[in-house]
Amino acid sequence: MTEESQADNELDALLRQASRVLDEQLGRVVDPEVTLSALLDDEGNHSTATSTDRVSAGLVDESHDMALRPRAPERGSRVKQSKILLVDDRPENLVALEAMLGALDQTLVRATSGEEALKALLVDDFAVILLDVRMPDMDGFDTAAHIKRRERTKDIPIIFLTAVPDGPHHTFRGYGAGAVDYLVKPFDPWILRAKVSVFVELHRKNLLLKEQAQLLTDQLAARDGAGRDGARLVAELAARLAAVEENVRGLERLAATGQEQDPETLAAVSRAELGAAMETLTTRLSRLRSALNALDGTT
Amino acid sequence: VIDEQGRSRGTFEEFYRADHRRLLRLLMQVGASVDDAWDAAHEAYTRAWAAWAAIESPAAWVRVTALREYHKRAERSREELRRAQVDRRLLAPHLDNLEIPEEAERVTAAIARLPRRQAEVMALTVDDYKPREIAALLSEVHPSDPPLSANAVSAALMQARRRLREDLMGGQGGAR
Repeated sequence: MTEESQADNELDALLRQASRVLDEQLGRVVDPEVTLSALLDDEGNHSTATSTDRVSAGLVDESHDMALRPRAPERGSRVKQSKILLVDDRPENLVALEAMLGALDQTLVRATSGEEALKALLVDDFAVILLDVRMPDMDGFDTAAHIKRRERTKDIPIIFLTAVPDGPHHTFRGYGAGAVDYLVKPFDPWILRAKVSVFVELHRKNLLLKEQAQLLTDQLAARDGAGRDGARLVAELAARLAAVEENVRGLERLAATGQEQDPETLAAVSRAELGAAMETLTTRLSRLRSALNALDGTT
Repeated sequence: VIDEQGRSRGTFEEFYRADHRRLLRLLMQVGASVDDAWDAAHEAYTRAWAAWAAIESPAAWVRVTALREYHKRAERSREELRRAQVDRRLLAPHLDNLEIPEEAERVTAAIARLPRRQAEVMALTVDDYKPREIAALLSEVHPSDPPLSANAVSAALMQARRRLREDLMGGQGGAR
């Protein structure tokens, strides 16, 4: 009996030890804070401030230049700067990228691995991602695949960065993985800045559009309060547009038949020019019409 | 309202921090691969968070949910598996780097080799559950099995111990 209980004690010690080691190893690879933020973020019904603070605290690596990472992203305010995510496993490359892009006066966020990039993407909204193709563990293509699979991040443009010896098949893979552009090392700073600034501008315009759409909706709602309902306002705008369209049709008739009736006028303005002007006007009007239709749908 | 939500979020976070490694370990001891353990555990935590206010004993709740999830994995649709995989890679991209020392691996594998009930009883015992609690918990995990009594759990535990002693310490004994 004592022999058995001794064996049982030994077994217990073995089990405890194995469990402790397993716990330790799991603790080494799993970062509960990152998992938590993603887990709770999926639900979406919490204050963003808490998750943002926590994750950015986890993300901020003290060895990095703090000036490049604003501590608390100002979510509420209208941010003028866009964020650019730089992903490269070599710190010297990140430093070079930062030096080249510094002139754009945007917020640069570093990630030294695909995993780190994905973490950063859980927290922030980026205008563009510069992604090194060659990285250990999760390479640029894998990282891009993850980014493209997530609803929230799938539309962020990716510029792949690669060295010359990677060859053209890499370029091809890059486009397949959702790259919108490709840059080969060593970069020409002017070209890099030009490409990046296009996406920054695009991002800013997108934000502006969103804001304007919101503003329009708000204004229509406000008029509701003042006694004029949004739908009626839209109807009035549509009526005025219809009048303009009527005028255009008159002009069109004039353009089609005017030649015989008034040759002198048409000597001054060539028929081709008039036709082109008409076409432009018609296009513009149809855009205005479709915009109004869309607005009508929102009220 | 904000306070209440904040507190419940706080309690969940606290619970997760203290519990996640234990649950992963438990699942691995009943035979799950690291990846499967991660999937099942995080499916359980995700659901736990969604129903957080209504859950009385979270630890037992996530264990029942995760064990069920692990067992019915084979029945899950491809789309669900794909989604889980993407999430998992996103949340724990370093799982591939997990290195389990040989001895711990040997013990874990020995538990996983036990018949299903014994493995579950053993893993839950290692997880500090008592036979009565284990009986209740496993009866929920396998609702189509006849309900387990505390005595049946104790019996299974004894068998499990005997097998493990042979397997791990029995020298030339009954290891297989």
